Amino acid sequence: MSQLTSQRIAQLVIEALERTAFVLAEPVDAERAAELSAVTCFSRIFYTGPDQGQLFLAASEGFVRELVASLLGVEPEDVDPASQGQDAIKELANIVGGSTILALSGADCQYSLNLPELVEAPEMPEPGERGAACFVESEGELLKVIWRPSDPSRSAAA
Amino acid sequence: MSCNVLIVDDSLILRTAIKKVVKLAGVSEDHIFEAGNGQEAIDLLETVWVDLVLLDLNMPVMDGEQFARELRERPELNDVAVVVVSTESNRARLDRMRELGVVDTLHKPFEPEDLRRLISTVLGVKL
Repeated sequence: MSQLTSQRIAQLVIEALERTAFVLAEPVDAERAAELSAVTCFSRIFYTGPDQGQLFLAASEGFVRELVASLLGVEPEDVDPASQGQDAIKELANIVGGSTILALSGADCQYSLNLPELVEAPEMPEPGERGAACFVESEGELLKVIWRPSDPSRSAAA
Repeated sequence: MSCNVLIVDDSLILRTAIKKVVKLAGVSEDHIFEAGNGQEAIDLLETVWVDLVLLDLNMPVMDGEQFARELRERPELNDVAVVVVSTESNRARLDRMRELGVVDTLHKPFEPEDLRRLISTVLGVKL
């Protein structure tokens, strides 16, 4: 099974944000992340293929506002986090999920993505021994991304 | 440009963002249509002629592959150009989409300029 590092995941996330929405972000460490706004918006996407796993995104409300504002060309204050924000954080999971399975597989991709879904904070996984997580910051707002591969023995059993 | 373009994506935010790019490519707003899944797109195509479909693949209700298959089974819709705009990377699925007549594929994340150029190329061929 391929491995992804925290740095690689951060690179994929930053590229997705920049290319899709012109949102400029940079990786930060856990200490800096703790100083930023709390994450309140959560989404995840599962993938299947040669192995299985999930991408989990946790964003502060300000981050989601900025993402929507950049996508739509509106002011962050005019964004409705309840509808537009949820749509945007789901779509970001979809896009980062797509980048992740490409990074895992290379050109001959045999992975498939499920539909992204909104989730609650308690469902946030730990990356586990084989997974990785990263924090990125944009305009003082926080996005955390966790890559959690499934346990291979459980995947084989399924 | 008087071509009709249909954006099929389950994300309203993405449809809105893509719509901005389609307008930048020279298509006026009243020639741009939207659908949230393949079934909505089929329903719309029964009422209005569309030159180009920008198609997401992973959608609820009817996904992009089912939509493309349905499209090819309808002779009256065989001339509709379809471009996949999706996170899909699965080689087997993308091969199936090509067999179904998809003109091109744009992988998300994409830069708006990539999409604008692709729209102009596809519609330019048709004009």
